[in-house]
Amino acid sequence: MNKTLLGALLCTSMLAMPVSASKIEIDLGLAEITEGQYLRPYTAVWVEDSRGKHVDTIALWTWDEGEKWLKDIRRWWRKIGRDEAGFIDGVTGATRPSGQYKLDWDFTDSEGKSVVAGKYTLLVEVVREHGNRSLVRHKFNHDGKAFAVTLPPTDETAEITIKYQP
Amino acid sequence: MKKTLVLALACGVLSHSAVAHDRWILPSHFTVSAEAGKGVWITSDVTASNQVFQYDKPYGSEDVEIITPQGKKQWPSSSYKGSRKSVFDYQLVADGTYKLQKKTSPRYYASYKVKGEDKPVYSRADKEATKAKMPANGYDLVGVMSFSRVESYVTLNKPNDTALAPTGEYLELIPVTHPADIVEQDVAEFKITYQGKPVSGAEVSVVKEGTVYRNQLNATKVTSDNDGMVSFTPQSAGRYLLHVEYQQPIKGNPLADKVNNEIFLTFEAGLD
Repeated sequence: MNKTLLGALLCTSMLAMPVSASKIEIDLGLAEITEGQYLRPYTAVWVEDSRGKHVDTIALWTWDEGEKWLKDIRRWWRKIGRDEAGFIDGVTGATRPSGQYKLDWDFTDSEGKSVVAGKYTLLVEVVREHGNRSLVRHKFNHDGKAFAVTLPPTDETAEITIKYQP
Repeated sequence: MKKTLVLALACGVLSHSAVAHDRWILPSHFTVSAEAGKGVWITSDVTASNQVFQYDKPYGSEDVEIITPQGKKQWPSSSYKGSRKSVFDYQLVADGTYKLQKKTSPRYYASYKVKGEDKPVYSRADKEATKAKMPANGYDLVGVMSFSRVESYVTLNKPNDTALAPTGEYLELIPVTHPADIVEQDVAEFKITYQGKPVSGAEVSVVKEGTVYRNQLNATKVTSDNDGMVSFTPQSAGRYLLHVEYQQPIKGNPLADKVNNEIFLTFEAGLD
């Protein structure tokens, strides 16, 4: 959340600080579920490179005692979760209910190094106990050009807006 | 099973699809996660059947071996033999990949003909032993060495390769794509060796679970190339039974004229 606030601050002062404002902004919607039992979903948001290799995890929302269920965030678990003991503590937060959430990515990898220009994919995986699993992907070019896209809702996600304004 | 094998010998071939039951170890989970050191219990069915993965016969679980991520051999903490399946439990504690396998050793069979008799005579002994007890008018003595593996892999947290290492004995199926990395719509690759050397012409059949609920078996069939490599692409996520069959004449072995080896591997293809 601090990171998000900082990102927002940087964005509002973009004219004054053009160099620092290089972030992808994500407005992530978690679907409102009206049928059946509702438990807050496990959610992972991350970036992969063009070969499907994990670059950076932007958000991981799970239960505190819930490592047993991490494997159910199937792709995220395979791509990075299982490999990085301790890594989980760094980016994890509590599960969130339905609603809109602001995230951002500053074009750095999990070690904080800037990534090279090229093709990347933003992935959102949402898994709900007694519910569905949604895996949403958006491919984008990291080439310094502005873009904005809104991804339609899926079972477990509401609209997701992804924006980049250099 | 022995009866089946003898019958198969009678037919002159040991064709997996035609006669023998499929056999497998089916773990409750292939991929598990847990806090470090907490441990996760896995329970597995061990059964022989003609429908993947519907259990039918209690293929024993008391002789299952577990190769740990450190390469040590362990045994189930408990096992049960029912009328339709066997079960064993095992607790994964260390992170990594575990191999579950039936204890196995080669078995020898032989057959010969007797003048005036239509049918060959079958022996559950090797060629040498059969020759010693065969009547003087026996002829066309043929010995077969039979060897089979029944195996699966499960992974707690981060996968590793130690339990995947081949032993160099008989027929082996070596995962090139790590079992924890087999995913729908993605190529999975294995290497097949015999006595540690790659073999071509081993026949591999891959069948997705649920055969009892569909009209077609939908088996994916591939044959190992000169480097012993086979690859296939599971079309959808789920549990699969892979069967390898390898038959080869052998020379200079007094116990057998040909080898007949097979492997059953149970694996899951994960969701993309």
